[in-house]
Amino acid sequence: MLDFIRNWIINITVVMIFIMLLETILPNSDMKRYVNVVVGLLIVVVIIQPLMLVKDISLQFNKNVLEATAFVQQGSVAAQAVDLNRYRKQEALQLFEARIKGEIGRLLEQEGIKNDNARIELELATDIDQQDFGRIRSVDIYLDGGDSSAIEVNKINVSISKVDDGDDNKSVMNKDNGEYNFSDNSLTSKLKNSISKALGVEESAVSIRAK
Amino acid sequence: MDVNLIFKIAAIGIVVAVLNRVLNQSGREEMAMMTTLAGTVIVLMMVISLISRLFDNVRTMFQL
Amino acid sequence: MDIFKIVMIGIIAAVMAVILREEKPEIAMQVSLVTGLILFLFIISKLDSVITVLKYFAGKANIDILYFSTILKVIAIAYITEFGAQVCRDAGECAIASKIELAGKVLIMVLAIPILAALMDIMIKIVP
Repeated sequence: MLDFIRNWIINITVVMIFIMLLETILPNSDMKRYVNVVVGLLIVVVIIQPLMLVKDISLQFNKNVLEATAFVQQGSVAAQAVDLNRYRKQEALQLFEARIKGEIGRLLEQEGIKNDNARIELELATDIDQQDFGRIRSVDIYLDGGDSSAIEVNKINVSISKVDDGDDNKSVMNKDNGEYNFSDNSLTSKLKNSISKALGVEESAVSIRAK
Repeated sequence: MDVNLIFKIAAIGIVVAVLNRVLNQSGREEMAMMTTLAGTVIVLMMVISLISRLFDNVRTMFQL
Repeated sequence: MDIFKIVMIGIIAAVMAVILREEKPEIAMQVSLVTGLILFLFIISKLDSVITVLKYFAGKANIDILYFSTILKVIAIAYITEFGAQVCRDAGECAIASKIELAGKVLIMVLAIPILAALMDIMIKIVP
């Protein structure tokens, strides 16, 4: 019992010295009054300590403090959670875009077009607040005709058209210009079909252009 | 303590003031306005890094 | 001695701010702001030792870490609020300065709320 009283008195003295030091380093202004409120509460807590021993109120007290702290900080945590969620959705969208591009590249490779010759552009719904967030709006694929493999593909097309139509003048002229219109080509429509099937978008949203 | 920053800012202020006066005399009010704005922005850039340093210091010291 | 340095910095900065105030009040305000920042940074490096001593005391007296961090937070809020409010008041924006002070007061009160709530609860429990 004596030991406890000794401890209690030491506690009170130390807290008093502590608060005295604190008052000196505080900026002198209006703030002082408000700081004094907090400090006064702390002094009350220290002085009330013997009462805490009765009916193990101490545990209850600590629990109450933690609960109140959690309640006070709830608002800011909720705001942070919204921010975090937004950030994660943005990350997910980027990942999604990269994977779709990889998938299209694989499809193109199956059709014999190398990945570095094709430029793929996706248009996604990027507005998080919209209902259709992340939906694919359109897929644009630009095939680069300058490379050897693409020309190879074109050559095959030319030979096919020769057999089918027997009209090779036009294709030769096109070849001279260096421009091939893929729009009504069988390869393009096949590509379009497979991409739209693989991604689950309408065929009209997929466009393939060649230079 | 980098006191140099105070002198730097004061020098920028004097230069901007002189430029402002000259440009105003030669009848180019819009250029004078621009120099004033540029000077303020440059000084603000310098100040902001200092403010962030102060806040960082306080935060680490008081474990906020 | 440090105090001579600080006073000289203050005086020189005051002279320059007065020179600039005629021509460019906005840059004069920045000069005073930077002076305040530099002095504040210097003071804070000194205040560090005081805080260390306080921490030592708190450890020795078995003061709960929760209360100690609360007090530290209160001091930090008081300092920063004071600084911001004074800068704004210097620039002639008394309205913004008083809003900053209001925010500081509210934040300090928010820190006090958990202790207050717990104390209230105990009062109700103890008094039959």
